[in-house]
Amino acid sequence: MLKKNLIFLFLLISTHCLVAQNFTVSGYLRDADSGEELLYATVSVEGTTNGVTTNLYGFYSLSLPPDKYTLQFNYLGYESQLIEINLQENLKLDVELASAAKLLEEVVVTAKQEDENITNTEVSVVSLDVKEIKKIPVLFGEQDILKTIQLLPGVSASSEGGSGFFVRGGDGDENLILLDEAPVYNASHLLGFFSVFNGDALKDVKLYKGGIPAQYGGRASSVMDIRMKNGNMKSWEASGGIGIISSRLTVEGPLQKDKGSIIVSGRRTYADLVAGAFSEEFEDTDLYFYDLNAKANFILGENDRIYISGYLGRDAFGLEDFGFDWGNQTLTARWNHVFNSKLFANTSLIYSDYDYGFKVQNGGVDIDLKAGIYDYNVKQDYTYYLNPNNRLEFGWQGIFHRFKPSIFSFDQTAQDEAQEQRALEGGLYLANEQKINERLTINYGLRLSSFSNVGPYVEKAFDETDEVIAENTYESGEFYNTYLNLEPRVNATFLLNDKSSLKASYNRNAQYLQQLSNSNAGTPTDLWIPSSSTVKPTLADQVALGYFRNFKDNKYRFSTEAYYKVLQNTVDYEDGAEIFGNPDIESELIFGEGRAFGIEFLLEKKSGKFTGWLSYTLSNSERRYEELNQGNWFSARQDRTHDISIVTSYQFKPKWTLSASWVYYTGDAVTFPAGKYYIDGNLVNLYTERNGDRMPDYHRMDIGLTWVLKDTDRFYNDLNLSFYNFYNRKNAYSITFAESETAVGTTEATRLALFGVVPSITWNFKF
Amino acid sequence: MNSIQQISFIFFGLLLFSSCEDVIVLDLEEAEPRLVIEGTIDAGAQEAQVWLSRTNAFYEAASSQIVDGAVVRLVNPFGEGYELVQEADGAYRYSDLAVEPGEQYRLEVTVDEVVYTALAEVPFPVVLDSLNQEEISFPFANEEEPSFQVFANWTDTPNRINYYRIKAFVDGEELPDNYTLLNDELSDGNPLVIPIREAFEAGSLVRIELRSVDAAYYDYFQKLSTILAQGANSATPFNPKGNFDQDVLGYFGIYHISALAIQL
Repeated sequence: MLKKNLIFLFLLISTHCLVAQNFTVSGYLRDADSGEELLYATVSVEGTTNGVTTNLYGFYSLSLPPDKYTLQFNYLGYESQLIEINLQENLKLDVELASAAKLLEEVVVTAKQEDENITNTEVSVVSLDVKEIKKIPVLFGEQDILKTIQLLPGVSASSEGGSGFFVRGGDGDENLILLDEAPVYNASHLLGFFSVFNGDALKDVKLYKGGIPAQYGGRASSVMDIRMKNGNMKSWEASGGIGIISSRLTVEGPLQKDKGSIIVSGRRTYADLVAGAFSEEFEDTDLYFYDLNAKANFILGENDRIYISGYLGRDAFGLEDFGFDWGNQTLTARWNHVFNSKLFANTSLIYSDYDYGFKVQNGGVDIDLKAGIYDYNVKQDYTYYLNPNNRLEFGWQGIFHRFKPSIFSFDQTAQDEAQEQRALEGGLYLANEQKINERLTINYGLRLSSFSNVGPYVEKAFDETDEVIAENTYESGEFYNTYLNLEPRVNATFLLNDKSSLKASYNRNAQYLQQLSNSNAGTPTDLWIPSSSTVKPTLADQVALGYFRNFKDNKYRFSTEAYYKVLQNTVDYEDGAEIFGNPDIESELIFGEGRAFGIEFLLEKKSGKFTGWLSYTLSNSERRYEELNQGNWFSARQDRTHDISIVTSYQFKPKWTLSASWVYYTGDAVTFPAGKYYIDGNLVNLYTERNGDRMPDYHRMDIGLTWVLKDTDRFYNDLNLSFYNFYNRKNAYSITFAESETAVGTTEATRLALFGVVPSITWNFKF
Repeated sequence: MNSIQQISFIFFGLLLFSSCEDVIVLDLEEAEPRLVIEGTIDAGAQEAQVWLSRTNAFYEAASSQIVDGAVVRLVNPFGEGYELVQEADGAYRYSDLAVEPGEQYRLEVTVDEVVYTALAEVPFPVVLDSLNQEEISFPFANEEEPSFQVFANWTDTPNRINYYRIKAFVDGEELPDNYTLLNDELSDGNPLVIPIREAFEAGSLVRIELRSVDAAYYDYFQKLSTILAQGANSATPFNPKGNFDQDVLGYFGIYHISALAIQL
């Protein structure tokens, strides 16, 4: 089956290769100030519809018949450049673009508005300009890409102030979050109020809600590809900010001018120090997190470049005899190699881990718990610029996973009950972006993914009462429970005219790791488990259809997309599952299915003094399990019928910017009591339909004001004042049903609203 | 675990001085009244007690609606039956049993011509050895009026699966919603030091009951305790199912009590 498909793919490609001798122009596109590569920038041939986009490393390649051409280099927020070439042999052309923002003040340049959103084959993709995020008011003044992404259609926040998110009705663990290609398993700090991504160290963020390219695999609902900055290649600079509960500092500069650079970025919160200043009681208290991002890169020669990047983040939370900490670490080493003007390759070695632990001192006994997941990852990705009409992407990937289960120890003596699990996940893919004609471009590809458990392990089988009925012992290094999945991915764009296009996509994704969460908010101790003979991989199939249109010289962009998604083998805990410290967690699981559909609208204005967007999503997401809700479909918790976000920013004076955002969404689907009874003298609530009720509707407005104090080439600084929840809406974080403490014998519902108005102030600088 | 989450959560909330709680009135659905059976045998006192009631609406004032005129029978392993008689307070009781550890008892309840049956096994008694106290040091603790943590100490009986539940009483009042449930899966035969999840005030008389319970009792209360942890950290709520053969709320369980008191 696979072989046939591959042959078919090659046949399709080869039919378009019957062209005369072509020459190739190739090179890198960079920022003129910092030397940072520009990703997904467009390179087009003036007067034709030929063009390519730069890849994830800023590389492009364009093959054309020998002739004179004018090439146009475009990137959003940058001044475009026209370069004339006489193509009589293969040509190397590295281009630097200047940021348009700087130019605006000095010369009046109307940078050509981009229309790549209309023409590219990407459907269901959200790109964030890291610079733009800084304008949006946020909780505690901490700029956050994950919170900004939640303001876009099809993406919703997991909880008030939280950095967890759901994409198109999928679950929280179905998002693959990559930081410089390394998977990040827990993207939250401080119980979710902050994300682990420090905006100062980031260059580009892209979220695939659907139409996921074949190079990505391993999660069912979305891929978030985050790239760290490379560091300034031209000169040394430092930037940072001081806020009420955290501060950050970034230093970057050339190791050797235009040859190599380094960037180090750190952030730490000091809530505990602030609290300690108010009360001596906090002196023995830990409550902080820190992040450290570092990256170095070096150009070895014309064709080779290496990058080494790492992330280290940790949360600590502790009182005198009680402590809790967790964190992620990633390390990525990459080697870019240009084989020739048409073939680009990247090889990556990646390590990433997520671990957590806690400690309680209890009656003289130290109780410890430690658990974690450790990944060793090798991958190679190739881009082959066959001809102007065909660009091939292919590669492979292998990940060795180690899952260390929760291990308790009492006074350093481990209670070794649950066993470590190991697994090997593989991927092999081939995709081609083919321009069929002037109007139609199709990107089609296939990913073959595999997953095997690896011994040593004693696998248990359970009967209906969760008792162990059989045990299978596997030797060290033995492969078992191998799953193979063929994942087709297709995206197509049809240009209706130069202002509008129709796009369609289909993708299948297999997910071999699931995170089990028994609470609504999600906690750092939520367990990741691998697929096994009991736990089948989750499969997602999604189709999406979109219409894109730009107005007024691409100043306004409008898009609408409709999607339908089907999930197989979703996992949940059975009712009343015993989770904590249970070595046989698989016996507490149930398996079901899901479906989600919706329609999304987005209207954006990207340039001018007044910018922002308006987003609306109408959607539905449901789950079904034999064992729950009498086997009937029920709303997923994150099923939010209506979801609206308005984000605006207005530069009313050259140095003053006012920004505001407003969000509204239908309350989460929850289960409220439909009656009550008493057991052993305590009130017990009676429930009927699962998730048949709704939390009150959520809405909130945030306001921010930025005042640029000084802006010269040498020194820049601004002051940012923001108000989270400006009109003090009491949004229900949770509702509890219990006996009244004031009126004995009656029962009542109590609402917990987490944040009232939260003002914050941050000073940012750069020199 | 939930308590850890709750502590951290409250703590963070306090730091922000911005969270708030208030009572709201919701328009809740009203389910059809359902039968609730709570049947227990106190193996030490040799007494069986069964409460029969029906559920009512969440906002209704009446605490529970007793079901009268039911037929309640207990059958011992030898097939001999005991008829439980409804007393003035509404409970059905029989107080002269002769249950022995390891024996299996069957409870049969007939309401509106439907027979509800459940089985439970008499557990082996375990004795609570001692209680001790420790002063709690915690941010915001008031040093003038210290609060205490109380620990229950006993030794698990080896080579047997034991299930426990701890109940706590302060000056004669039971602490509501305080469910400490344990099994000896990880600690067979070990001496146990178990903290009671409550900060007790100085001067109070704390009585701790160690209940050695049967598996059915443990399973039911274990499920019940997961839904009682409410709020954002709670699991999706459900109706815990006990060991009755029919679709009915409640359980039938057997326990021994061993209790001690400590004056703080």
